[in-house]
Amino acid sequence: MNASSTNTIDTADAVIFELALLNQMSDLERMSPWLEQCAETIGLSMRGTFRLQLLLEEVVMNIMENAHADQTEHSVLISLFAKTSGLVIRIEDDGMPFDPTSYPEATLPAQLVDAEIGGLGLHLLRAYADGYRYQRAEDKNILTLQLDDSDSEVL
Amino acid sequence: MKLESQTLENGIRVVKLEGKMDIQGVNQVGEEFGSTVEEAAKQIVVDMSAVSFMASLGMRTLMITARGINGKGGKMVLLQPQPLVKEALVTAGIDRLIPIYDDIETACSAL
Repeated sequence: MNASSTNTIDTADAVIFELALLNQMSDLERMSPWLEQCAETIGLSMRGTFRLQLLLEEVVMNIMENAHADQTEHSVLISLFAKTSGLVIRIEDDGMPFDPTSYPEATLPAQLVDAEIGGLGLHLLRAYADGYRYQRAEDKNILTLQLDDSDSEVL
Repeated sequence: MKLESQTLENGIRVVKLEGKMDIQGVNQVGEEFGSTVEEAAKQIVVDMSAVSFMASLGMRTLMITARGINGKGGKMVLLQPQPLVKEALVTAGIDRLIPIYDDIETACSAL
């Protein structure tokens, strides 16, 4: 697997995992086994692992589908910072500026015929993250998500 | 992911999905799921009991398929999603668009 862990000075109490993906569907398939191994190493609950995968899929799929107008190769860097206080997820891409936190809350459709096929991802992203922050820096989108695993015993 | 399908004596088609309906899973079975349902009867039960993950990509697959069936005068329902998958479906409001049932008898009688 591609999981690796290192300690750095500014996140001294965190275990860090990183994965770089190319903007190709075939490369995205590497994400699921990688995050499963990370979750196992961290000791995330089943629900925490589910939430982690959902959050990463929503963000990364959105980048793949919308961030780049050209057909050239781009990369997405995913970093997980596992701390005793919870998990911080950082996703960085060099696509067009896009702040998912600034979009108004979607209205859920009442009928199948009215349902927008897009838009679900952002709704789920907000519902499944315990916190989120967007920054645009050095021509990159940087989305930071907080995931507390404290409610893992609910289910 | 795997997909199995069978037709019950009452003519209702049960399509069972198995595995993680993540990006890889949808890539594996998305087309087969659509074509299996398309060629099947108008009444479809999608058995979700062996699906351990789903995000919006998988939900889109379900919605597009259900919409296609509805367009032909049929109906699709979901059977027995696992708790975490059900939570995601409800959070996304999918349960209001594609009914969810916890036993096969109720699912069939709703069609």
